[in-house]
Amino acid sequence: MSVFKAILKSLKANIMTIIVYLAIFTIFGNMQAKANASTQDTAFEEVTVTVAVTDNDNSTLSKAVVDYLEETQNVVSPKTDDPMVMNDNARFSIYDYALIIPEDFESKVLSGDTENLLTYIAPGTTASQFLLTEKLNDYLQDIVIYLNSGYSEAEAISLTHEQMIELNETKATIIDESDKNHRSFFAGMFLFNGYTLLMILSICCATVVTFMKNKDVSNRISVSGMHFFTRNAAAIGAVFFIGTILTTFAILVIHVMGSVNDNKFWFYAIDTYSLMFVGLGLAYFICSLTANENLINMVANMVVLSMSFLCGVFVDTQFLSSSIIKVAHFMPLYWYTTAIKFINDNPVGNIWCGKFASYLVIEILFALVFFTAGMIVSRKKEQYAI
Amino acid sequence: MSQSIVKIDNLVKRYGDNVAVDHFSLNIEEGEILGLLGPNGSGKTTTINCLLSLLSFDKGEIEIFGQEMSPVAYNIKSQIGVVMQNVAVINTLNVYENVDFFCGLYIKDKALRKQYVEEALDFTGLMEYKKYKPKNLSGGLLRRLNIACGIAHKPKLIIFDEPTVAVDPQSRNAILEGIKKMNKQGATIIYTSHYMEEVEALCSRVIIMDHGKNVANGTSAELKSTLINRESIRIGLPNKSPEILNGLKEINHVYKIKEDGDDVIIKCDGGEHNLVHVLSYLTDNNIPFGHVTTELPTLNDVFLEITGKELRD
Amino acid sequence: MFGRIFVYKLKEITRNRYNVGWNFIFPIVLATVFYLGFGNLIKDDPDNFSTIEAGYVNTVGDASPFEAVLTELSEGTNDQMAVLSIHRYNSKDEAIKAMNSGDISGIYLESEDGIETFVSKNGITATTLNQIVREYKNKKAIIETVAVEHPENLPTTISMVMDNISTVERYDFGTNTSPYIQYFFALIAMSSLFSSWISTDILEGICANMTEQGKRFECSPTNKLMAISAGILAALVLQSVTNAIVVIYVQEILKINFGAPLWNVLLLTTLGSALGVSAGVLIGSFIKNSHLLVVVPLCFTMTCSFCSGLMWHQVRQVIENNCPLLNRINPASLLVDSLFTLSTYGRTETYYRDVAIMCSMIVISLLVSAFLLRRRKYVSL
Repeated sequence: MSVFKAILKSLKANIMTIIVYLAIFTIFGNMQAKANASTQDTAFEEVTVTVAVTDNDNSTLSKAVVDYLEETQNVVSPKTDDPMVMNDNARFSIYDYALIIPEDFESKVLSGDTENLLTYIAPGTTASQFLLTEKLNDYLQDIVIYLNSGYSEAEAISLTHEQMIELNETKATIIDESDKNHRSFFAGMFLFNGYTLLMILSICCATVVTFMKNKDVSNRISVSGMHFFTRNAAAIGAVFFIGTILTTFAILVIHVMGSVNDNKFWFYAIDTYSLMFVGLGLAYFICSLTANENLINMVANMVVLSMSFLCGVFVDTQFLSSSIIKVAHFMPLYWYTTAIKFINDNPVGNIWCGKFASYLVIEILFALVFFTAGMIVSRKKEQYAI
Repeated sequence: MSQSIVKIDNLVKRYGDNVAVDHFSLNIEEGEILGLLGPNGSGKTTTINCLLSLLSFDKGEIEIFGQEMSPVAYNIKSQIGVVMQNVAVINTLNVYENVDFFCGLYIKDKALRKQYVEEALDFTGLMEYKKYKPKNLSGGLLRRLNIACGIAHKPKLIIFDEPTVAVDPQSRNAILEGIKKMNKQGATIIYTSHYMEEVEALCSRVIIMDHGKNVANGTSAELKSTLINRESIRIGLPNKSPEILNGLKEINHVYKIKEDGDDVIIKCDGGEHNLVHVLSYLTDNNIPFGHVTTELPTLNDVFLEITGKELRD
Repeated sequence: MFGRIFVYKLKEITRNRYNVGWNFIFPIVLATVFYLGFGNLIKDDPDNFSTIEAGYVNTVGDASPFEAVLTELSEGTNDQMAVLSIHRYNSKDEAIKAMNSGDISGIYLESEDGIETFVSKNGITATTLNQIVREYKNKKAIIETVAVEHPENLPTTISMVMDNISTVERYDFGTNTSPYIQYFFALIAMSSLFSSWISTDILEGICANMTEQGKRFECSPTNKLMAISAGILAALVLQSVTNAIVVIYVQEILKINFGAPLWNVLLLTTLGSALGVSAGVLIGSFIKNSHLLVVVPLCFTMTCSFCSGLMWHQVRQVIENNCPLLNRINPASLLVDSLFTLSTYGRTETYYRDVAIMCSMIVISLLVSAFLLRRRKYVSL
């Protein structure tokens, strides 16, 4: 019991690490998951583009344009009048599109000057930029054509508006047969958790185990008369206890944050507990390499961050090249994220199947590989007295 | 009269309510090897840290080479060498670089520094290890490197704070011989240690500190002379009749007789040829006796007598 | 004396394998991982518009005006790629099969009932396909309306419809930096801040209250602030060189273009190194606990790096919109912002503002540290 207690007490030294990673997780994981969450639709729905409008003209016509956008798109405040900041906002997806209506907009249209009436800012040639530019162009062309075809400004605006409303009835038909391409909030949170939980587990457990690895301390414990089995069982028990507590805590945090009721939650949780074994295995492996806290931090950071980038935690796997994906198959985190996507993409009833179980088993096998590798390294180190 | 090198006057250092150094005074003259003794927590290291201006103090005055010591008294600092209790070297530099680096903090001239560094390495017997990194040195070599870093710049005052802890007898002997040699070359030395026989063999004067106070000050012989017991004679005596024991007690300078198994211990409070007097009494009266040993008091006895035998922190 | 301490401190820190590991190997490994992870995103942004594969089924039989529109859309111009790539099918079922197998994203079915659009899922592609039909219907409606109400203007109307006037123009910034390149900037910022470790190391070796070497140092007749300055300079040199190597590695070996002159990038990364080193000095002059001296710089670096977009590239912009002050005081964000601004817009006001804030941060932290260390004339051991 004393070994068990000592290990738990030495966890206190890592409290700062735990707090930092949990804070990163709760704040940024949450933001990222919320930003990427979407639900499946059965009927056709227009994609609305988030557009920030700056109206410098304040004319009847400019207001009509703004009204049109408000009716059809998601209009937000540009938050700035600096085009560069708008560009950055568009580039980093704060909004998709920034539209600037110049002061002389209406007078230009009325005078017959129809080229390049409005200015927009969008990152590169994105699909949403293309779509909204098309829509705006279509709208303004209508106005300009009506004005040139003998209609007054008010008539042109009202006719165009009517037409746009009528066109809303033109809808595509969805033949949607899969759940894919929608990511729930929980899926997002658990994906991010792959990074933070692995980080917390590998650093905390590795540093905690190091104190047992200290030669003098382990010698002292081994001469204490405590049975080999008892003290090792106590150490293993304590590490698993810590792992379970930390993992459960992370899962609870996600549960509390997810306001929606998702009955797939427990499957995510099971996947996370499998990841816990990976984290503990990794911790054991790292601390077999070194007992130095600094080095533990370095190795854990390198391994976990690299895996997170290559296995779809930070960058969705669909954007990674196929050769990277092939390499990622040899990383445990890949199977964790694949399992999460599997849970996300399938109806609750179909999740519990061989495929899902195989993902979990692969994760546990990876954990075993780490444990074995750690044991081999420790043993070799002892043999050659490194 | 020789010059005063270190003068500490009424030094007081408190840590909260705890008085670490309590009105401690000290005067060290040129060429002395002063042994500073005291149990753990007696205030030795605190005194040395105050002396080196590593610590501020609450009261008192410290003068070194006749000038007031302060953190920016660079002219004083340049003539002091310190050998810390813990090994204070840079692990990523090799032996030569370590000595060169620390020596370079004192000696600017490149050629002179090279000469000093080599002399220090020779002196500590580290020349053949000069390319070694500290982690590859044995405990004794590491201690010697620690010393080399402290003395390479040929200081006039050297402070050794327990330099021989965890060192084998050969290395210890080499270190002590080295210290004597430096002293002969003109360095004044302050030496703290828990090994009494080292201090006895090395120091020209000994100060014992306890509870932050200076509780004894003098040469080793002077301190020993303060003890009541000056000689203990142990004799194997089969017959311990009261007459014989009384007869022994009558001998001049014998103040106590103690039975210890088959032996008796005869304690004397001074005088000379006590053993001869005891043996003549026994032979004159045809009293049979076995083995005979005699013990003179050591500094250790003085230390325990003064500081008591209870355990310290 | 300054030179000697500088040389020895440089030797000391370059031989420390943790410094080399964290400040050199770690960024190189991460840069490689980033490159593997989204090197192709930088070259080919997944959000970019790409030609949509669409099926077309005509059950009416005659060549329709809509088909002409589709044909026109499937012909790209010099400065614009084709909007559609049309695949013709004989029946709706055949087309749906192709859509389910992923060959096409949507189907246009032209029959007696008019034009219908089928898509496999909602999204930008579906909306774009639908928009094409809407525009077609819209223009058709205009011509019909004008034909009834103002027949005299019909020729003008038709010619304007055919002209396809461009009423919206793009604000041109000249360059188009990929947002993903920010990951590399954040990486350099992280590696710069890791140098805070080096400076806490340096302080440990010089200050008596931290290590035994420090004690020995303070016993010597060496001015402490001068020694610390020499140490700081050594840390700065090491960090600047490792940063430069990382930058050159990314630019020359991974072939990811930062979109700015190399000298200017190196100048900024050197400034970043100075920022990290001075932050470390500040941390070291506050903290004495050796465990905290490892944990605090690490947490400081990781938190700042995260907020500058190391793990999620939008974070910095989200902060910029909600609490811009945080971006102004986060050294990692400042460095990332200056690098990003430089590569996207050149040396603008924002760039100079970032540089000015970084310089002031360096000066302030060094001054505060000097004050703290100087006040500690006597140390508390």
